[in-house]
Amino acid sequence: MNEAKTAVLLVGSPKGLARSTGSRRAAVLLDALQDRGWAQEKVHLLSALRSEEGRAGLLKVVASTDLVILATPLYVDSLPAPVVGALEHLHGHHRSMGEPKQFVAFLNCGFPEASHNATALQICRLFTEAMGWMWAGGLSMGGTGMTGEILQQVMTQVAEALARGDPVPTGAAALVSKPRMKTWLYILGGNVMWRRLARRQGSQRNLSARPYAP
Amino acid sequence: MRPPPRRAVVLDGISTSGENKVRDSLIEATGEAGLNAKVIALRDLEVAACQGCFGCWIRIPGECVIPDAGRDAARTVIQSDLAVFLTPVTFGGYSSTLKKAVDRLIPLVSPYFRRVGGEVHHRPRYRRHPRLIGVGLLDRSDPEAETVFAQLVERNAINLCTPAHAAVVVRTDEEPAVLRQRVRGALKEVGIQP
Repeated sequence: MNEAKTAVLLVGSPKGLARSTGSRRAAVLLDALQDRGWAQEKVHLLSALRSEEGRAGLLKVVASTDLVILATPLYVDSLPAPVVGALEHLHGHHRSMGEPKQFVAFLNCGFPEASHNATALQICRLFTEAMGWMWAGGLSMGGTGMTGEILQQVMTQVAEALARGDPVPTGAAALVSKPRMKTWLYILGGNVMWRRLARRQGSQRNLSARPYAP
Repeated sequence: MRPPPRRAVVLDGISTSGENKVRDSLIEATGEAGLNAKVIALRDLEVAACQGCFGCWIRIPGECVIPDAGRDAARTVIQSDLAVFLTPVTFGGYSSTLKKAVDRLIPLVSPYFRRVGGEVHHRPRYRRHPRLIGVGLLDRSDPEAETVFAQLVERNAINLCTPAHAAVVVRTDEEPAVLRQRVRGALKEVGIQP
């Protein structure tokens, strides 16, 4: 009897799965795989790295999985430090990682253009190669990323491909990356949002403060 | 009156405070160029990971809400003329040790958006931001990792609003004289010369 295949979602956002928009989008992919009979696991990387038990647990979960999905925000043009730490930890134990796995990176950034994620995707690909795993491609989203029914449809397509052992379909990756707002509107709306958020903190007059100016 | 000496800060993601020939070559070459270099040995410090809370933009604008060595490093960086990121090249990027400190540099830019080269980026917070040199260390030649590393330094230069940048990848077996020569080349590239 064939055992169910397993996918693990590595949550790179320090905020965790519940408060991270990008991770929730990636969870749609995980659910689409579950609909195809796959078992699923989720690991919050920042929490896992805090203890020896968590680090050992991360190795155990990844070693026994068939597909690794990394969902992470972009921090200063690349992966957040805890995500890099997790990849270093996995690479340090690559000989005990069992069979080669598929690896998919699901990146989201706070700018409208998904192109900001390109360098981080290259880093994920080089990690996959260093592990001797299969690079199944990246899903790269800007700050205006898709939601709702379209997201569901695209993730279903991606899940079908991954379940066959194929990489992320080019069309699906392109659709996910497409900005859904005009740049000028994003800049305008974003700047209004920052002022509004600062007002709630009582700091709207200091938003451009230079506390370290000589 | 003589101008004040220029300052450099090395965010050292490689070594403990012991001996390290790449770091020593960096200090020597920056010294020759008339810079006083301060080394922040990140492995010796407790630097918390950025929480992604945006507190440095909306609660205490310009300052991280975590009072640790990461906050001090950001202050030192913006008060320098040159920032050097020193790291083992890790899958083409920075090591987690360096990345913790780099992630904590976002208070140095404004939350407000602007357009740069057809893309949206953050506006600079300060009138003057330091030049940037990324120095990556590899055990053996790896052109692909070197390319990704150079791309990352270039992207950081845009997002951290630096006026000039350079990326150098050196091998661990290179002689100190060669290392110094490579660093001098990078200093020249960012417009810092004796």
